[in-house]
Amino acid sequence: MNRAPRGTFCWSGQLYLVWKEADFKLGITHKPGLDFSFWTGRGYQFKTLLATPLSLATAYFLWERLTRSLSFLRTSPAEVELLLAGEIKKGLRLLKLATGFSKAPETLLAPPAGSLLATDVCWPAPAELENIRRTLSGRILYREELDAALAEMGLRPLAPLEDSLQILALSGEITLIPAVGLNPRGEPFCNRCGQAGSLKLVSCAACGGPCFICEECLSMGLSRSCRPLYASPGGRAVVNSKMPPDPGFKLTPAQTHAAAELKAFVRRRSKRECLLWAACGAGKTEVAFGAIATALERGDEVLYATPRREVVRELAPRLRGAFGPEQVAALHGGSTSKFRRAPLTLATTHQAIRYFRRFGLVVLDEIDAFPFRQNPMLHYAVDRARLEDGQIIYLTATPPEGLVRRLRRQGEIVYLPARHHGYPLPEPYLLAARKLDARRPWLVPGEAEAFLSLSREEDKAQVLVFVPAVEMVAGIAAALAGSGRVAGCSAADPERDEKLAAFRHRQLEVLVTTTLLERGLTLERINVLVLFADVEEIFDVNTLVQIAGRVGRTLSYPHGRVWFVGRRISPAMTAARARIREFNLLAARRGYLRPGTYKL
Amino acid sequence: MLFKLLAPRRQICPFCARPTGGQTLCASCRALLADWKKKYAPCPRCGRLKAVGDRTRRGDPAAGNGRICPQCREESPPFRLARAAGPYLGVLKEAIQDFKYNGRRSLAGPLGKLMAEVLVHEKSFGRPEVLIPVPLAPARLQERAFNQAELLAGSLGAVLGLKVQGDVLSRVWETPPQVGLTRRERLANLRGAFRVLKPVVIRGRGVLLVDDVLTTGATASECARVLLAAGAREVSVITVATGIIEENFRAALIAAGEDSTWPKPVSEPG
Repeated sequence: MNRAPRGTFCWSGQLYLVWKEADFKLGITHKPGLDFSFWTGRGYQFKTLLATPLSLATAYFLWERLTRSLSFLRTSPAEVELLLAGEIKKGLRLLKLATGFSKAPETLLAPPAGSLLATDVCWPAPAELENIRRTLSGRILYREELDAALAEMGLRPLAPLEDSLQILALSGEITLIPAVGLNPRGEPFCNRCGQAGSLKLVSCAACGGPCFICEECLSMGLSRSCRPLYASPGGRAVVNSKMPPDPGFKLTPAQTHAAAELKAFVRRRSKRECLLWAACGAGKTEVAFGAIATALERGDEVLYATPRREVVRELAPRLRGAFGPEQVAALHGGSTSKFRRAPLTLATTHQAIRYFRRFGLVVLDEIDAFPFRQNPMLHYAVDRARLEDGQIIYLTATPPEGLVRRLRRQGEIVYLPARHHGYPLPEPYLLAARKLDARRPWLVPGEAEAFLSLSREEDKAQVLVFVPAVEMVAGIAAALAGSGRVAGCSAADPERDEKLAAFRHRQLEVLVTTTLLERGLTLERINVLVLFADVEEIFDVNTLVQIAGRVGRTLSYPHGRVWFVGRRISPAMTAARARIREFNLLAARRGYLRPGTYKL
Repeated sequence: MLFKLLAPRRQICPFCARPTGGQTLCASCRALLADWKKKYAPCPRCGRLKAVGDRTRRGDPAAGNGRICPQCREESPPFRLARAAGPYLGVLKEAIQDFKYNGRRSLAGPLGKLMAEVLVHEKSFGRPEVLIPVPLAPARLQERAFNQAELLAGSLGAVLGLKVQGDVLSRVWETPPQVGLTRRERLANLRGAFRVLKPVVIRGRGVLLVDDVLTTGATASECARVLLAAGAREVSVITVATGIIEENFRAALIAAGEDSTWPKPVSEPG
């Protein structure tokens, strides 16, 4: 009877003291009989400190507090007990003040001796413990998730899972922490996603008491005070000799150079972080393959994380092709198998929340993309997923300001400034058009019309028009309708996918859109026009660079046209152009560009 | 700390996280919610919605002047009337599922406010005296860690200034999934599932029963029957969302796989 079919395991238990001569230890348990037989088997004496069941967060809070004070004084059991009683009272009073926990128990009672032995304890088989140990290694999971992980591997433990986990925790092999914990001052924080700002105090029907819950990581399973998280760090495996030393790829000179630098970074192991700063469409993923192979070779597990699910789907076959199908596990929110273990894990950043000190190398793709950009939970998760001395490689065309500043000091930035076809990046043309008016979108400036006709007549190219707000899409699309087959498309559009498909198949000439299509879109012949490019809340430097990066990605049309049209020329517009120029200059100087394509 | 006080968090829409400009919901979610009134008219009794444009439409649909639905005509429900803030579709359905199955409890506030608006606008509710949430069976409560109806009743009560009586009605057992059953079969399944623990509280008084979704009205009917038998003067029902009456509502329910008591797997982001 170990399987509560649905619902979550709610930890409610006790705080106890064990001692052997002058060795005092404190523990918390949901099943005192279990700990009693564990410790008495090792010659310890056992005493419950609080008979009233505590919720996990409270028990853990007291345990931490008491353990601190226990380190000061170790004399007779009676004296220790007296000290602890005082500490418990103080701790509970503090909790009551800090959290309003009103049901906090206040009595210090020892249960009658012998009653502990009566509880049913089913000792799990060593093989079963080994399975659990192996499955949990490098992960931080709820009991229910571990259950699912074991089931996925076809394992059905006989003993109650929480009991086996308690035994592993007692022997120090895993750690048990409350999903929402309390810091020494009694303030709550979420151990699952790391946030401490907005936890809600609710009355919990599962444990019958007040509980803190975290709504930030809710979509990954409810984190609350009475729910345990089990964590076990993963170690380095033995050297993996089966790994091909270098997946054979034809790299361009620019890529070869960058790949060698990344490989050297992984091999040196002296620095933790490295940024691969690539031009849009330069093929940064392939460049990381060499570094991944180097890490795998020395026995590290590698995580390739990206914020976007589509990237996982698209990249999985490529990685499997390069490293062998058995070596790669791909997972995202919708995947059915979430717990397979492989040397190389390809996952969305959300899935990183279930890993604990496991990866020797984390490759983080598109750190600046939604939802990673604004989500501290994902940063926390990715950081926790790597080993204490694990390395991290950021891959992006548009790194955040802070990261660049930090890594520039350390000298760990690798540039990949040229595209595979060897033509320079199209530089944007900046224009100020007074006629632009957000309230009158139908007054399209002559510049926009000129751009469309140039694209149609001269370049025979399709045009993507970017606007800063969803509300503008329809108005601008209507205003441009005179210049051919035009459609507007935004995130909320129910026909979004159909319109995109039509644009891809060249049935549409012009597509008006928001920053929705800022990345991940590669089309043959395309020009880009940004209207209201001066709206800096939307069109910051990185967004503009990404947008300009849609153009000239293929060999058949490597030039392309990019116009930024604003009511004025904003600093971001100038900075974006400067950044693109910088990359072209660097590429030209290093000799990555075709001769004659760029004037120094 | 001081910064927090001086710069309060920008209010964002609980449904879609866009800025609200001081309102409970953002403009586009409000527009989406107001939109149904043009498309559907409620049955004056059970409040379930029927698409307008067919013969049931008479007068102002939002006021419930449509015709009584076939189900209520066949057998009048024991409650006086039931109303909801909208159909169990789109944004409202997503919000309820996030609230109930994911456990996003902060949604109780805005959803409660939506119900309060319905109560204020619908004159025929009169003045309810006792607020009673539809209970969950103890095992289900333990599993979910909260009763969604009770949280909704709590926030509704806070707006109306009424105390929630969460311990008047209790659920003895949880019925198995009701998907694919007729109303009569559902009612038969539910018979005896509820019990009134404190008849004193409701004797001779007007009761307002609160739940998240009214699908066929079987649960609400059974609760109302038990409450009336225990001496309540009258029972009216308020829910966040309500079902839509189709020509063949049973088939529609099966097709939609909708049942208010059975959790569906919720897929993770990322």
